[in-house]
Amino acid sequence: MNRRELLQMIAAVTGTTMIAGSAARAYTQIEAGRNIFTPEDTAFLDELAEVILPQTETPGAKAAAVGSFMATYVSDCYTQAQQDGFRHGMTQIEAHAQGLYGEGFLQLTAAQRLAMIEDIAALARYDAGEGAAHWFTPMHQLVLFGFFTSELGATEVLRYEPVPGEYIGDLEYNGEPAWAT
Amino acid sequence: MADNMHYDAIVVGSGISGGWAAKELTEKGLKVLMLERGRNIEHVTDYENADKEAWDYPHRGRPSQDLRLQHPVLGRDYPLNEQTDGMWANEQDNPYVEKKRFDWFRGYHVGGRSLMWGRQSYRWSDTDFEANAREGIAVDWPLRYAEMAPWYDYVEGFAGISGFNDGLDILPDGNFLPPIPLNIVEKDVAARLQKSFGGKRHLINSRVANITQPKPEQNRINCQFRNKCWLGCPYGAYFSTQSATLPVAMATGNLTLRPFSIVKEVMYDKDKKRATGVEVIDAETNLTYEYTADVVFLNASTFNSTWILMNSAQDVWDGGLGSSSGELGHNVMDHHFRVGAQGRVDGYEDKYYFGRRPAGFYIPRFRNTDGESREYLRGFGYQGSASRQGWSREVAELNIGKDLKEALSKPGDWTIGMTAFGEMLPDHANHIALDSSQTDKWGLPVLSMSVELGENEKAMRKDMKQDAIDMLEAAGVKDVQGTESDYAPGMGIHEMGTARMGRDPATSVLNEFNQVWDAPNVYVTDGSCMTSASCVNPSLTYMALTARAAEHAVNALKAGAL
Repeated sequence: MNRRELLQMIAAVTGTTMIAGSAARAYTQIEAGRNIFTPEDTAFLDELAEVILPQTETPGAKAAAVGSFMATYVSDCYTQAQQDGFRHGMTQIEAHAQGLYGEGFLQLTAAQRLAMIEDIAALARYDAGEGAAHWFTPMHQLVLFGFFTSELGATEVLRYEPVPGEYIGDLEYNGEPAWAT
Repeated sequence: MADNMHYDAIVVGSGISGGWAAKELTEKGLKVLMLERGRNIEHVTDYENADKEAWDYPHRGRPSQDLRLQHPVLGRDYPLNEQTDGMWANEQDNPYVEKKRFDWFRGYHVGGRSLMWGRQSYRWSDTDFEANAREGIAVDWPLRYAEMAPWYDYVEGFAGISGFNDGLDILPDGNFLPPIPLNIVEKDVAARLQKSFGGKRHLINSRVANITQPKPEQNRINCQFRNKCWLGCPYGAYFSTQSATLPVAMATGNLTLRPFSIVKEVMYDKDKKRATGVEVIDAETNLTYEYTADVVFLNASTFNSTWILMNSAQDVWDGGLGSSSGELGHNVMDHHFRVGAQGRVDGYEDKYYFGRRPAGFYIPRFRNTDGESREYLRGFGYQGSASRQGWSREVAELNIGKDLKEALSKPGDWTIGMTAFGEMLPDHANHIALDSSQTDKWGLPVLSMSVELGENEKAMRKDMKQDAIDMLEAAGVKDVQGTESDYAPGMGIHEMGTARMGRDPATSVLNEFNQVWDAPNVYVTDGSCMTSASCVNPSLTYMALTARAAEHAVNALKAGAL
């Protein structure tokens, strides 16, 4: 079973998806409670997340502070190797921006950011199809996880009922938001 | 130090079976001391995460590396998360030795694992109780379904089990509250399975200890479909010690609950051949106390009740109290699982659901019944559910931008998945033992585990996967994939055996009423007592056995027989 199949199986059976940090078996002591990212890093991650899940008629990743969540999650939940991979990804994005446009990622226009990340996503998708790992994949997964489990993502983009009170198993569906899990 | 406190009965442990023992004994008028090795958890007020949402946790529920380092065993599977942090035993204070890998997930606090349990509640049938005798495996159960049926009625009525009377021999009907509904896809799959397999395979509503009608007499509100049971339910909607048995026991005025009390041994009078009480180490002060009682119920959880027996009366038996048959510590069982199938269901795009169920469907055992004879003994059942995919469905995809956001904000395809739970045969070779090479925080010897799956289970696992695939395909499910993950004994969190019941003191530890053959005023009614494992979840049977044993104990006390 490849990773994609495994992810889909877990998502189907448990309703959640395994993401980096959850599957780690080789533990290395990392310094607990230490944020390994600077405020500039967090701003960078916010902007990256916003490209992946932008503000539309509903809030986007930046409004949901996904960058700050990613910084906390990677600092506390990733192994050293996963942290290194994540940092490598940030460096790669910056290098792509410099190589393509001669400017840092944060200096790019929204259109430039979108075009660049779309290209990276396409490469990562190709690698995944070949069964190879790509640094962008876990980054992308973490953005989705961070956004849809945030209060804004769960309550304003998805549907969240804190106390449903009943279960109805046969309702007509007319395009409403999906249930947040 | 002697505490000079005498009780009519001592109950060791406060989980599902301990709570029942305390309730039954106090209601019958006995003065009872309930000992719990861990901290207290008060109903509702101490359920500190019960009203938190995903975004209230720093890591949205996922374990940090720090948490993983604290819980290297728990982190092998799903129970390690931020939501239930603090509800599992401290692994540094409470080590054990894995001669073979054994995943031991323990709850050391008042309520034990009754707070975190899966709540699936099924009766055994005579197919289960007769299996050992019929097949010449291990020893015969000293009881049959007819003996258990009224006790199942009784405990179901009190605990509150929701379910449907499906009229199946393999899974006897019960005293149920209305079931938690199946959804439209599950109902249609159920109908197709009936048709495809000649009425021999049944997809039914889960039977779970979540109440679907209020129980005002117990101050419990019906399930609100939040699906957050494992955090402790502020409505008391699922059965736990805290929500159900403990309040009743407390209300009698006959119960004393002592947390932080590690029972070191059962004190034994070899002349009278009776237990006289227990010796306790206070987990906080390390001081030792002795409490005496006329009867002792061991409900410290499978393995820990046996650990206490092994540590007791060693001056009489090298292997401890109850070891004279040579079976104490042997015949460890679990339910082996993590194998099944899943797939996509075409259509139903115009259908959805409301609420979050703490349940799904169940497919009772159909193998080796009705005269069928597979290349293995016993069988398995499935737990599963159908639902529409959520945002995580495209996590493995790499689309970006507003199209992605729009797509993920809507429900995806319907999917259906199920996992088999298989019966594990009792095998003398699968055992636990006292191990003095390590000690716990209190200087006590620990347990070593030597348990592995046998050929029977390995053969069964092939059917557990293939039958799941075949059923989903027969039901018209698309892209069906068999699923299989590593299973290690213990992961089912249904550990059973090590002090089995039987008909003969030469081959069993407990008699037909859960009394230790060598000390009839000691009852063991947790999972340790199990003579075989069935394939259904065991807790309901522990409840019934405990209530039955408590009645026996009280009658025997009155008759002067203990």
